[in-house]
Amino acid sequence: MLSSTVPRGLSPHLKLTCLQWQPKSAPLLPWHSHSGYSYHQSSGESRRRLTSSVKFWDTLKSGFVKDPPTIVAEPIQEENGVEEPNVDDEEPVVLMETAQPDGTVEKIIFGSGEAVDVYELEALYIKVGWPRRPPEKVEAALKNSFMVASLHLQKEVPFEGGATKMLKRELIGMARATSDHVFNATIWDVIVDPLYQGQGLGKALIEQMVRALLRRDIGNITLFADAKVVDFYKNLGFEADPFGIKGMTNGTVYHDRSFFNSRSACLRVALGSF
Amino acid sequence: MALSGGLLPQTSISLNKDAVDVVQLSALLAATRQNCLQFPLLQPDGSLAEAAHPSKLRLALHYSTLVVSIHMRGPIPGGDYMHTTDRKHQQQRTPFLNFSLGQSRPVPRLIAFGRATSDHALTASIHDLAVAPSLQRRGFGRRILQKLLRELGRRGITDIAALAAPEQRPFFTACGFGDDELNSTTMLYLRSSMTSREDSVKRFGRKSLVIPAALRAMYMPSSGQHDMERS
Repeated sequence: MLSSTVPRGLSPHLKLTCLQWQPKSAPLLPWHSHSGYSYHQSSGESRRRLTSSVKFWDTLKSGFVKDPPTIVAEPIQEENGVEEPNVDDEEPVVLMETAQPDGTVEKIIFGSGEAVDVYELEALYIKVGWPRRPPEKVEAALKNSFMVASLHLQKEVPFEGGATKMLKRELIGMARATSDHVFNATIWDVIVDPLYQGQGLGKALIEQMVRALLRRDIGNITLFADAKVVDFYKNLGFEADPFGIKGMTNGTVYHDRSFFNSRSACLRVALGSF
Repeated sequence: MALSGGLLPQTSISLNKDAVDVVQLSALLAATRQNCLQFPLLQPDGSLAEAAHPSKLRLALHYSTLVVSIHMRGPIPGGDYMHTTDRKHQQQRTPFLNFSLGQSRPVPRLIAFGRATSDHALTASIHDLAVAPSLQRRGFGRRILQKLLRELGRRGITDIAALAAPEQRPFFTACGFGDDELNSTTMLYLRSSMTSREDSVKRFGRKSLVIPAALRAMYMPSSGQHDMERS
């Protein structure tokens, strides 16, 4: 859960550097929507020309004007089923870097294409109290997700000359999205290690994910949030039941809604404090 | 598959993605006021500002887990959803169907459609259910949905979600869908362009029309207020 009452795992005398976030592109303002441009790998010059000639109102007008000039560049279509570039075309981003008193450096790294070990993920589930799921199903789900964003904690020893030796690397957060690559995406299984909650890591996960999706012009982004985290997502640009649109389900529901903590719910019932 | 009543030309249901002509699909979605966007822009007269582009649809079908379509051989009773000129153009593009066995065979008409995306293991979502307007309320939508559910169940996916606007809830309820068991809140990402202060949004039921500031006086004479604004 993302509440601030969760005890922080960092010792008090650590100095936190500022959040080193280098987004790959300029802040994504809505009227700079890159509809399909990212796929046009023609000469950089033509790409720049395309980007500069389309303004927000042009995209609106195209719906009203009789014979609109073709302004929205379509993604290169494959008649022959050529695979699209995957979402993991972005470099891992170092979100936080802290110097430890023993000389090592702890980094928190966000990655969107890195392999997530299913058993590490399972360990994370146990930490937040989610029920376990069959590993082969989880593996298949990860493999067939459109995007798997992960947060890793990396402990390194810096040497002179800039080299580092990695001591350990553990998974401390993950989120994934399923999509049809064009129109719709749903975000599932957003999870952050309780020790590292409260630092904006969950926010970073979701923001990066939404940005990656919007860069691909996938505008229908959905998620199912537990009551406790609705406000968290509201702050990120999501709205609950807009225009009365609600999700309905059929069948047994996996407990993989974002941040749902099933074990704590059982505990509450057992202690009678419900 | 025979239908109750037996007065309709023959229909067939298929899971084959290639059976779907994306141009017909775009027209079918447009006829049901959909274009695959959650908040489609409408023209002032209520019709879609922009239909889903066929090539995008082709990609989306390719990456969908399941695609179910019902085609009808023969003219659609009650009127087609595509204009005659577009249909004629279609017929020319598929000449191989017209080899003569005494009569030319018509292009199969797509009359109902639905698709599902999933991670092939845990969860699935239903999208873009559509039935030709003149053939609604005959059970085609239900058949599409049931086919999707059965096929997903066969693959071991039992957690299936669908986004339903208020007017679509009775349909999903009748097909066995219910409110989320975990009482999760459905949340949709709203791009800030939907609620920018430059323009206002006029709602037509669930659909909304973005009205630029310059035209606001024409469409919203009463207010200088914004219709929908996130505070």
